[in-house]
Amino acid sequence: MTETDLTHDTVTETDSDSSSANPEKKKAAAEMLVLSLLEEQQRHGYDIAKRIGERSSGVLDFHAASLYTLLSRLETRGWIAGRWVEKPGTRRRRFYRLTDAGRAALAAERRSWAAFVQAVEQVLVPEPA
Amino acid sequence: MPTHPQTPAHENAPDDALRDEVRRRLRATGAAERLQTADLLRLEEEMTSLLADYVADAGFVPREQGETARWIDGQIPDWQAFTDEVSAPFDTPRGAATLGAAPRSTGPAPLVERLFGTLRRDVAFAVRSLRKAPGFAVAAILVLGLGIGFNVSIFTVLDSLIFEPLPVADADRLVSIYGHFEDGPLAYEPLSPPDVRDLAAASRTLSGVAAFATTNLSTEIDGRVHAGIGELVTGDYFRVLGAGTAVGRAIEASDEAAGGDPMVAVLAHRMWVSEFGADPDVVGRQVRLNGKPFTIVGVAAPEFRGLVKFLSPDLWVPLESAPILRTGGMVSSGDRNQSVPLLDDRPRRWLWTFGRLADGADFEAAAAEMEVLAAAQSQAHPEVSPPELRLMPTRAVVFMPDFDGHLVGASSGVLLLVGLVLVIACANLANVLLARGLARRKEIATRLSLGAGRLALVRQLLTESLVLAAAGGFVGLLIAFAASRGLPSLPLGLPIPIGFDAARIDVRVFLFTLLLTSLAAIAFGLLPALSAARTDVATVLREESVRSDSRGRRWLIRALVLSQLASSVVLLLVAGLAVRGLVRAQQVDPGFRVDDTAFATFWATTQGWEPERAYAFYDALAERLDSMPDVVAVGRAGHMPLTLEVNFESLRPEGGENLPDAQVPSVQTSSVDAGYFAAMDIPLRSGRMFADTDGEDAPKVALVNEAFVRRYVANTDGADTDGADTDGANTDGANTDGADTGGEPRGALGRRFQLGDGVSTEWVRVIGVVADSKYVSLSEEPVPYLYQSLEQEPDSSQSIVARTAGGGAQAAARLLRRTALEIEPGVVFQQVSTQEALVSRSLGPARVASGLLGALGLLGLVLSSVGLYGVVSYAVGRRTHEIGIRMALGADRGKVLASILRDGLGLTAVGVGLGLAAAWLGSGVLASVLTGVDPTDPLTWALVITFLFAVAGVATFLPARRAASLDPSMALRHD
Repeated sequence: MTETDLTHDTVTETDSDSSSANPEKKKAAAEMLVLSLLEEQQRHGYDIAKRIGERSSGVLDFHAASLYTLLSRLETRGWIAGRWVEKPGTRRRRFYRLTDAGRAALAAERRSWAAFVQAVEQVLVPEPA
Repeated sequence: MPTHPQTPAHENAPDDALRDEVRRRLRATGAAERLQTADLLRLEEEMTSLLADYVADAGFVPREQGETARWIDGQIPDWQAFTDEVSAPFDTPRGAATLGAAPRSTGPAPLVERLFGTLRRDVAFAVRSLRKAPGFAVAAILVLGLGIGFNVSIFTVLDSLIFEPLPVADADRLVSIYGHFEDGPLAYEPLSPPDVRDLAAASRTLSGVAAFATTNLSTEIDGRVHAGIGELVTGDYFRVLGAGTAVGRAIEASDEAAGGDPMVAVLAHRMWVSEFGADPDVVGRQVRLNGKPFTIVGVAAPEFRGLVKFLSPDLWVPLESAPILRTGGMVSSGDRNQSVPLLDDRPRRWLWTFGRLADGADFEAAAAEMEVLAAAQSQAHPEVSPPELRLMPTRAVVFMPDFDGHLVGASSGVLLLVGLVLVIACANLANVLLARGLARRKEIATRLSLGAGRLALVRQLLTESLVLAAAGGFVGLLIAFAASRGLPSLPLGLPIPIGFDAARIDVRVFLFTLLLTSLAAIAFGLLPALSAARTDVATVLREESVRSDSRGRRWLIRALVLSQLASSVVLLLVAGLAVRGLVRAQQVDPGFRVDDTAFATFWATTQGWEPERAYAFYDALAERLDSMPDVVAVGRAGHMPLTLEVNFESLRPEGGENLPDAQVPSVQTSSVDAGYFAAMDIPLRSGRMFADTDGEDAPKVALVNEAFVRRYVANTDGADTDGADTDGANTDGANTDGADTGGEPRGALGRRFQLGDGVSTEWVRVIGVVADSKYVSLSEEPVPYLYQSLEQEPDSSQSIVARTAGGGAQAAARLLRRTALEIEPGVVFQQVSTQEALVSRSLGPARVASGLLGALGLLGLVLSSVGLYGVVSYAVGRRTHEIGIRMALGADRGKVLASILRDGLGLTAVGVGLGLAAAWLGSGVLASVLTGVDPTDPLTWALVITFLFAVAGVATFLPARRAASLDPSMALRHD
């Protein structure tokens, strides 16, 4: 499970450098997960939480509070857009889709994530002698 | 909480339980007070939906009380932090939010700061929520602005014209003094100079008595001559009034003693600014008045414009200048033979007199004293000095007591109409706010349930109303400013300077209207809030929609629309009637030639000429013009029609010499020459024209018009007994019932009449009858008119009329001006005008009036159709669900449409009916505002009714069509 830092100011978070402190990174990671899940198709909130759990084999588990906070933040930022969908026989749910801005952000995040991972690997993996 | 096994059919039941829990927790965090309702509802909705998925997936079925709550707390341990986080983007500015949302956590902030913070937050909130409903906001602000702006500008103008207090010291202590004769033409007459002097000397209750007379003057400053007006005043005038000067001194008692030598003048402030550039060294400079040099001794205080509220004199001169100016008494016949000096002539009553109550004296004491003084004076000068002196508080006098009733009546009529616009505006605002309030009932209930304090809620709605009122007031102020710029430039076409100051906004009036509309805004903005606060929150929320308004509120809304409709019926009727009067007047044939004709008016008095010199000039001018090849006809007249120069003479027919004064009719007269009828193209119907044989010493002759024949000759024709039946005026109505035999002009020839005050025994014989024309206004019915020969009844003021052979009226006017200047280089033109301009100018007031009234009417119509549209839209909105059901059950679209239209038009019919009834009852008031048109003119009424129904039809049809074209399934879901 990922514990997002709820007390931290969201505004500074968006401006933060991707290589800065850990909680920021974690938050960014969670955001990235959501964005990438929405890349393929529209999903409702609980679906997103469930899939993150599945993909991470249960390592990442979203509480309703963290999930909602995350979705709400992404939506405010204009990276995802939600709409209510009501199909016969199912509960009314809010479905989210990736916006163009979100797509761009995801691409940027992926690049910086790759850079981060590479950096970490360089540190963690012993250099061939 | 009752629970159910989770099946799709009952899916919503646990949702409701969840929703309740979510709401309770959000409420505990104070979210209701810091978030916009829409955001709050979204948060609640989204959280509920999301949690429901968690619940469903976990297969969690709450089996006992509190289980749901515990489960939720497991999911979201810290609601406060959670709410802070998710609501951050929607918050009002951070500082304000903290202050208002969690005052407990920020510690005891200083009270002022907290109040200010709250206010700022409320205003920001109000602005934001108004921006979310821009249509509503714009409509409300415009309605307010128009209502306020219009009222302020009209009130300001009328106030400054009629109701403004006199700008003098202690105006309450001034009394106006009038003479009264049993059989006088006026109930309140002016006094003669000797009577005023006697009064001033004798009175103990008045500390001073002063008098004035208004007179036309030509003013020459640095070679520029223009016709204006001045006031002749007694030496005590400024002192008794307590009116000050801006520069130099006022006219003083010493000027009176000096007997008009040296001749001095006090300038009006306006004149000082416009003609002398507010030169501080103006004292000692000269102006020529009626050709005579006067020395300026001072400038009156800026706000002082004399006692007559309409007139704004250019300057004041001592009464003693009257003989020098050859004015005073009666301007039009001022050159009549006089053996007694003007200022000692007791029978000539021409001074408007007033006094100031002495210390310790009151109005009653002064009135009692006047009774005694009048008795003494009339005993000393029987039949000459008035046997009764009447007192009026000066501030209660507008113009002249005899005419004030009409003035105040007409002004009140206009104010009433303007007030109707305000009624419409307030009713409209009330409607809009009520409808919005009702639509927000659910929102209000939600906010309450989420823990918003009732006080906070009321405060916020109040702020919203006040923000609206402030914006409306601002727009109103802009409109009033624009109007104050526009009004003075309206082409009223009056020949005198009107003394009002419209480029000024009356602050009291502005505040009053602002207060009124704000009260309306507050009252109707709060009404729904308070009623929502009273209602059981749960009931409102449970109801799928707030479809059912209370019966009372529905009636209130209807009553408001009805009042708007009724008011706009009245306004539109007045507008329609005014326009119709104008159109009718425009189509009227003035009865004289309009094209190619112009005239120039000269007054001997303003030239400073003796009458003989004036006659010589007129003769020379007419002769020179007559000799010009382009000029077809030249004529001369003492009074031109449609110029407001009106002369009445009492008319005693032969055999009626001994009629009591009260029964002697008055007839309009003018002295003209034979050429006048040729130049004006007024045809001779019978008899002959003035001829050279009708000279000064020949028997007096006259021409009359056909209306004269109808009224004064018709019924005595044939029954030519001793003329006892001369009271022809009473039978004047007879000419409408077909017995129009009196129209036969021939019968009038040879008839004899006595003109004037009955002292003269000279007979005037009718030698010819000419066609009727218009004399005072284009809208008048044909009135009797008598033309005397200019040879026999000379007039030192004359107009020379010239008609050219197709050269155009402007060419004729230029010719007149040039020729007159050739003969007399410094001549003062009282007026040079084409006949076309004369006619169109006489329509000026009607044009302005119908423009203003038309604007009022349209404004009223726009406002009330907006109101009607709003109400119908609202009603349709309320009924959308019902309409959906009807249509789902197979109701015909047309029938749905028809039923909505029926409702809207039914309401319109009632409103229009009420308005028509009010207009019918108030047709007397309408008649005071309108002239020359029947207030019950059927065509106008029919047009107004049709027009209103057409507009109401559109206002109803648009929302009705929208409702009828709804997809039934959408309509059913409509909340």
